[in-house]
Amino acid sequence: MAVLECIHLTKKYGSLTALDSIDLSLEPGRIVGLVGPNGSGKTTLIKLAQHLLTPTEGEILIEGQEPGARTKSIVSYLPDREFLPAWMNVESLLYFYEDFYEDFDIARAEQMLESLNIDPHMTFRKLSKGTREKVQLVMTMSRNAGIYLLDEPIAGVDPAARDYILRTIIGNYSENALVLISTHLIADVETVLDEVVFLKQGHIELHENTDALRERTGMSVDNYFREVYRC
Amino acid sequence: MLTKLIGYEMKAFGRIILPLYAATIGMALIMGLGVRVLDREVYSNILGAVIVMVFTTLILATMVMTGVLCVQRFYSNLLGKEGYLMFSLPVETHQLILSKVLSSLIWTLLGGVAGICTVAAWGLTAIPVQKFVTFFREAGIFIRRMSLGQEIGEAAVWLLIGILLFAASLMQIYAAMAIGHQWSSHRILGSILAYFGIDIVKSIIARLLGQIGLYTGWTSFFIANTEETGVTMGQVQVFVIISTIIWIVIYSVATWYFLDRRLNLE
Repeated sequence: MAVLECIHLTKKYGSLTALDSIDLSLEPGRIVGLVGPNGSGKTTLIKLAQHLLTPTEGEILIEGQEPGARTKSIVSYLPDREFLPAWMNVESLLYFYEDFYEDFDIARAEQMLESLNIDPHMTFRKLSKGTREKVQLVMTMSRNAGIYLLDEPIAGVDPAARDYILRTIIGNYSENALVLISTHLIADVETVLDEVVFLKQGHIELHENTDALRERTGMSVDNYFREVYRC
Repeated sequence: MLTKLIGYEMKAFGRIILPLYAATIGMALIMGLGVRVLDREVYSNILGAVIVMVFTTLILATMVMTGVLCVQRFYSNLLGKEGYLMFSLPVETHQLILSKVLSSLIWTLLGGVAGICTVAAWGLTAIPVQKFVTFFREAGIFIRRMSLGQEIGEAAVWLLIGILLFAASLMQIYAAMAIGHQWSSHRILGSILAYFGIDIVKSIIARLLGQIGLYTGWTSFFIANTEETGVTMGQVQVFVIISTIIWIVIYSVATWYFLDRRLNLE
């Protein structure tokens, strides 16, 4: 059964159509890459799944329900920007997540912070940019969620941090969960993806198993992406 | 979840306001001690002036900061980057709005309590203990007398009106910010224009209602018990309570609609 389903999903911003009647069905237990150039509708799709936007037409369903308070309790979302309150220290953020999310595993989060040598008493705003991104990822991946929506988790970090982030994602997601990673840096995530969804100007250009795609085209997903989106 | 949201808001407010309360009460103690310990002439010169100036500044800073935080917490926590966190919590949009209103109300009331504590701190240090005890004994007698009459009931009505007017004013600002955030840029300007737009609509409606003898705005209190209008203060109070509740509902629905259905985060 699909845990994330889009049915004729359309989102318009004034005269601009960000998503144009897309149909998509994603199963649990898969790591799916949502790829496409800037402005292709990746972030819009993720925001619709998290009820940060509402569809213009069609619907998006999370475990068969419209996005809302109930679905947010099973979706762990990492936005494409800094979103944690800068005045709180890391320890307070752990308690905040523990307070609001029943599935938050504080022991796992503390362990991850320790392995990263992040002092939990440090105020969020005093951490370096890279460390702030790591803290946000730790918070997101320390939930035993049914769905992880990761919007550009590796953009803007150095290659070593990218490896860490990908290892964290693979090592911490629940086996039966769906992980949807939005990115345009396919080469870095290709090895971890089970499926890939290509978005182009608000349409789904392709939705395929990565192994099948490589076999069919004789190319890596990254090379095929460059082929499809050649300017 | 609402309790948790309010608890979180209390912490966010408290980290800024509580040090100001402490500083104001501390300054009141210093002022009181200055009156008692120092020579009257020394105190009435530069030192006294500086202490009074610092004390007044602290009181003003606390009042202004409370007002600023009531607005800023809504703006930055819900409409800024932190909105990505807050709107991803498993809570309903109306709970997020309610937590902001209730925490602002609690901090405003606590501001009153802090004011009383400040006066008490000054009184305890400035006035001889015996006089202070006498003052409280007489105040107690006065309050007990009040409880026998209708004054307590009347005071409760005024308190209710005060709370409702405060909530309505705050909700008008929240609704204006939620509307202003629909703009893709110049959102603060959009919020200010939305606020004045609401104000214009409100004053037109109040004027129309006034023409049929229903005085709704807070300014109506000045025209009660006059020959010109012929309405009593009791009637004005009822009109104001009902109309303010209606406005709170309208602002709440508008704020909810724009935050839940038309959310437009940065």
